[in-house]
This record gives sequence, structure tokens and C-alpha cells, in this order.
Amino acid sequence: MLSRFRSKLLLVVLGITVILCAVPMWTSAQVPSTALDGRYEGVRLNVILMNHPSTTLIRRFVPEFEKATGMKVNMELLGQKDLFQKEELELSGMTGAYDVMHFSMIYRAKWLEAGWVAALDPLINDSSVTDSEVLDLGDFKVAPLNSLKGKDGIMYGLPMFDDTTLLCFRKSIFEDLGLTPPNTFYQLMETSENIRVNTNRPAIILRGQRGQGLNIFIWPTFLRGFGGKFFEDFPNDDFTPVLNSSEAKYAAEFYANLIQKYAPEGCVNFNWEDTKTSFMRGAGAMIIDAYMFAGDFEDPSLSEVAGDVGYTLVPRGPYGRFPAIAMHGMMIPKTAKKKNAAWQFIQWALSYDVQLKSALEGPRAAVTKVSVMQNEDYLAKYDFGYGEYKWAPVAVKSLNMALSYYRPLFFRKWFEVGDGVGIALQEVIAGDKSADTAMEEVNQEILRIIEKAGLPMGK
Amino acid sequence: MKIRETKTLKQEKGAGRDKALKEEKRLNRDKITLMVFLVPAIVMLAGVSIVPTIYLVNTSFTSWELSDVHSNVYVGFYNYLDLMRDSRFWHSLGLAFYFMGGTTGLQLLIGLILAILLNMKLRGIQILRSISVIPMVLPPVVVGMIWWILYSPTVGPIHYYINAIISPFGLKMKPILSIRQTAMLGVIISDVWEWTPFVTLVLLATLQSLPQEPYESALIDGASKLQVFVYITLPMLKPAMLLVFLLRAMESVKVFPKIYVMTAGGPGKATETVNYYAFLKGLTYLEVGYASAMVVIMFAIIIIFSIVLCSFLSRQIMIG
Repeated sequence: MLSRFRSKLLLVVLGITVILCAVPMWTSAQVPSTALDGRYEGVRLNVILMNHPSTTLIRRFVPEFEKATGMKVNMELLGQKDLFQKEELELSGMTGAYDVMHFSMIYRAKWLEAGWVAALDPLINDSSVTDSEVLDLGDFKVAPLNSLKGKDGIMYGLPMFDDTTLLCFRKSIFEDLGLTPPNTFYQLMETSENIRVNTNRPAIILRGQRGQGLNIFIWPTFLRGFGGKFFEDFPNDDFTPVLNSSEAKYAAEFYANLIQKYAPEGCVNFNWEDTKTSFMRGAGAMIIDAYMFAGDFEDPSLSEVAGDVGYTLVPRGPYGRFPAIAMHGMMIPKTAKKKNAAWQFIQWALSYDVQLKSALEGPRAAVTKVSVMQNEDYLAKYDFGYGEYKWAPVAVKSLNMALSYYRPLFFRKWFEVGDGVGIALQEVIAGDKSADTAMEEVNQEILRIIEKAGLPMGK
Repeated sequence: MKIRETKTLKQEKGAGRDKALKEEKRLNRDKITLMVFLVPAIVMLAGVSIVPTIYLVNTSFTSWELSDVHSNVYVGFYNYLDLMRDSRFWHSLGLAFYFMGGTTGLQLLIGLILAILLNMKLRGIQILRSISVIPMVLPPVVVGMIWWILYSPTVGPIHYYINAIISPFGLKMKPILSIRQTAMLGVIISDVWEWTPFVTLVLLATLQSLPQEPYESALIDGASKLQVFVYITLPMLKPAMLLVFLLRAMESVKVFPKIYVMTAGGPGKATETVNYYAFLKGLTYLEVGYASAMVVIMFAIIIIFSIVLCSFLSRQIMIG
């Protein structure tokens, strides 16, 4: 009897030991195997990224990465405007202060032309530093992955979160007024008028503040929808500015009218933080803005409209439907001194496990791995919207239809051009200038910039 | 006797010469010691101000863009000629001086009134004097954020309470920072709130150090309070007022943190002063050559303005 007891006890102890041994293996499964052999013990990594739900969540799991690899990660998160200024100063000064940096498609052309970014292909193809199971390149969404490649097809960054725009609307207000979400620009104007008249409240929230990443993130939906464009033939290197076309002027006037008549007070100065919090406070019945805001809209601890939001594609114009597109990822600067160690961090931070874990701990709706978006727990958590106005399928549709040159970002003078158009648009919104005058003036200004930069015009 | 006297005179003369020589040597040693102590300070001053200024001027003659390693080439006065054609630059320069005039004028006026009030002998005046300096110790970014919140049409009290008062009459206040006509005024008010205590302190200290005899004579002669203020106080305060005007003018024309936080140069270009435009050109678009040329022009204007004011100030002090 005693020997039977001893055998059972031995079995239990063995079982517990096996489980305890398996736990570290399970925890470090998301860390590349190429980082677990102790070669990076004591290495200090400096990482700088945008302050964003995805990065704040990644930062929460960094101690696991540190424990598994022996590295020490110093992670700095900054707001968008300050981040890019700091990054450009560091890169142009070739300080080598950071090993992993935030990489946006907006900066792709400028940074690649300047030779600041290290190619990732040599690392990807080196099995001594890449765990192909953890990296799983084929699991990334195609458009985000391609947006961080150079013209030469070489990979320079891996996508961390993508962005597109949706029309989000208050289900209760629409049901009370018997309205359906607008599908065209004119329906949008009519619906806004209807809501304003019947509720005496703002109908729509849009970005008004000047900037290529602010009002010029939203406005091209209207510009292109009305048949306008920035340049004569951008993808084919004809940089003749055409913002003084009648279509562009009309688009500016239309956008300004929406804000002047139907947006909350002060919308002319709204950046994305203002638009998001305004909608969450119930300040407007509709908003056209980033799809990833849904995580905040549907968080009952933050939002007054949680559970009352429907999602649909941005309205279309006579020339089509043009949702916005943006992509943000991670890259290794050429001056980084610890490229291999940096690559281990990137593989881990963008792995399936970390993306899923952060999405489930959330809010982090924007993920870049297809398998995460198909995960049952993810779909259950981000089951926003209702009926045909559910967030996830609409978001996927929007991302798939977005034009890569929605904003013609892929040349080094985009910032100056985009900001200039943003200023002109804000002047129209504020009522300082007519759309006619503002667009003519900005077109002249852009012409000067393009001529000075020596970019090709005409064919 | 004479020879002994002559010898003594010569000895005395010789002794005097020795003394003078010793004195001269001592003075030279003192000069050398002084130079030795001054040189580090001069080197540091040159290092942090003169050398960067020379580098800035040098950069202004290049077409340097930080994102293009091949662009650091000399282009002579090309940037300056380009600036002459840049209407956005002239607009921003005009705004900088508009801001300077508005904020400095208001600070002087309000600062003077506050200084006179705080100079009164009242119970608890010391506490009021201490409280009045609080805005001055806040960082400009914090001041900008405070006023951005105050002006906010959605969460700010100014908009809320003014609309509560005027809405029964069918009127509605527009957001201050959202319209061109009032956006710069909003920034000016925040700057006045921050720096009036500085002006007040300087004028208060001057008031407290003014001689009392003119006042006693005026009292005897039966002058009214207004006459005393206009004909005695103000003239004696003039040098201090000019000095504080010079200091505030030079500082205010370089305004940046408040604009960055409150308006980002908008709406449109309504608050885009030359400092902000230079920041965009240099640190956002990375055209450091062009931005340097802008800053050099600004620097030259401020230097000329300061020289004119300083000479006017010196004349006033001499007349006083």
C-alpha cells in the first residue's frame, strides 16, 4: 500500500515538474528561437515608436521579452508630430541612438531616398537571426506589407498597424429619425441637414486642423470622389499640380460647408484626438475618421456612445469611393549598432501571439496579421456594430479598396505640399478665403515647390 | 649741503621711480590675472553664442536639406532672394511684429496699473504681490495649454459663460481660436497673462525706489493726484518702462511654444509667426538652409531694433 502511494506521489510530482518546465517554453514561444540562446544577454535596445494603443500594449509585454532574451529594452513613445520631428533629427544627425524606430508610409519616400533605413531582406533570409515561424511573413496583410517596401521591392519595414477611414454613425439617432446611413456625398449633406434641423445638434465631425496627416487625411475622399487630384499623373511622375481644377475647388467648398453648417463649434481646429473624443462624448451623429477609433468608441469606460455605433464605408462621389489609407510599422535605422538584436525585438513585437494578446487585452482593433483578424476571440471582442453595419467586414472592405496613392506621399516634398493644401483648406473652412482663391493660391505655391525641387512636370 | 641735498633728491627720485615701476608691475600682474579669469567666460560665450551665429549665417548661404546629403552646397544669396519673393515669410514677419506690439503694449499698461496698486500700503499686500508672480514662473507650454482649455468651445469656461450671458439676446460667441480675426488676439492675451507680472515687478521696484522729495514739494504746491502721477511719477518711471519694453519686445517677437500648443499656426496662417514658419521649414521640411536665412533676417531686424531702442533709452536716462 505504501509503495502504491509512493508511486502515485512520484507520478504527481513528475507531472507538476513537466508542467512547470513547459510554462517557460510556452511563454517564450512568441519570442524568436534565435533570441533564446543567450547571445543577446545584457544587450540594451533603444526603441522609439508612436504613442498608440498598439504600442502601449506592446510595452506591457516587454518584460516577458526581456526575461526570455536577457535584453533590456528602453521603449520611448511619443505623439505623432513630436515623434517624426525627433526621428528625422536623429536620422539626419546619424546619431545611432535608436535600434528600432517607428516607420510610416508617409515618410517612406523621403527616408529611403536619404538612405536612412536598413534593408530587412538580408535579415529575413538569414536563418541564424530569423525564426520563420514567429515572423510568418505570409500571414501579414498584403497591402500593409507592400507599403513599407522600396521601389526596388526590398523590404524596409514590417507593418504594426494600418489605418483606413469609415463613416461611423449613431444608431439611436438614425433609428429615431428613420434615416439610413448616407452612401453618397449628396446624401451625406442631406442627412446632415435633416439631423441638424430635427435634433438641433451637430450632425457630423470632421478634421479641420491644417496638416497633411490631419485635414488632408480626410479631405482626399471628397477631392477624388468629385474627380479632382493633386497632380496631373502622380504615379507616373508627372508632378504638375492641378488643385486649381473646378473639381478640387468644389471639393474644398463642399468639405468646408459640411463643417461650417453641421459640425460642432471649433471643428475648424479639430485634430484626430479632438474628433475622436467629440464623437465619444456624443457631440455629433456621424464621424468620418480612422477605423481603429472603434476600439475607443465601443469602450463603455471611456465612451458615452458605446454599443450605439454603426459602421459603413465612406460615402462615394460621382467618380467613386475613396477611403483613406495609412500604414505604420517598425524599421531598423542604418546607423543602429545592434541590428540583429533589434530584429529579434521586431519579430517578437509583430508576432501572432503578441498581436493577438494585445488585441484581446485591447483596445487594439488594428492588427496586421490576417490570422489574428480571423481568430474567434478577436472577432468576438471586436464584434462592433450591427446587422450590415458591422465594423470588421466593413473595415476589411475599406482597406482592400483604398488607393495606395490616396495621398501622393511617395516623394520627398509631400510634407510641404500636403501641409500647404491643409492650410488652404483650413482657410476655406474658417471662411477667410473662398475655395476659388485658396485653391488657386495653393496651386501656385505647390508649383513653386515642385519647380524648386526639380521634380518632373508634363510629359 | 647742496650736494647732500641733491644726492638725497636723487635718492628720493630713484626711490619714487622704483615705486612706480613696482606699481606698474603689480598692475600688469593684476591685468594678467583678470584676463586669466575672464578668458574661460569669454570662450564659453563665444562657444554658445558667437560660433553658432557664424555657423547659422554660413548655413544660410547653402541649399542644405537634411534629407539630401548632396545638398549642402553654397548658393550665395539665393535663399535671401527667394525669401524676398516668399509672401508667406513677409506675412509671418508682419504677424511677429503685430504680436510684439500688442503683447508688449498691453503688458506695459496693465503692469503699470498693477504696480501702482501693489505699491499701496494695505494689509495683506505682501500676499497679493506673491500671488501675482505665479503666471511668470509657469513654462510657456503650460500657459499655452491652460489658455487652450479656457478658450475651448467644448470644455472651456470662457465660451460657456459668455454664451450663457449673450444667448438670451440671440447672440452667439464664436470660438476665439477658430477665426482669423481673434486667434492671434487669443494668443496675445495668454502672453500678457504670463508676462505682466514681470513688468509689474520691475515697475514696482522702481516705484519703491523713487525719491520722495518731489512728491513732498508737489503736495506743498497743492498738486492733484493726477498731476503728481503725470508730471512726477511717469517721467521718473520712463527709463524703467523703456527698459522693460525693450526686454519684453525682444522676447515676445520670438514667440513659439504658445502658438505650437494653441493654434499650430492656424487657422490657416492667422497665427503663423516667423519663428513658427522657420520651425516648419527647418525641422519639419528639413530645409535648414532656407530656414537659416529666415532666422538671420529676423536676427538682423531685432539687432537694429534693439540698438535704436537702447540709444533712445540712454538718451532718456541722460536727460533724466
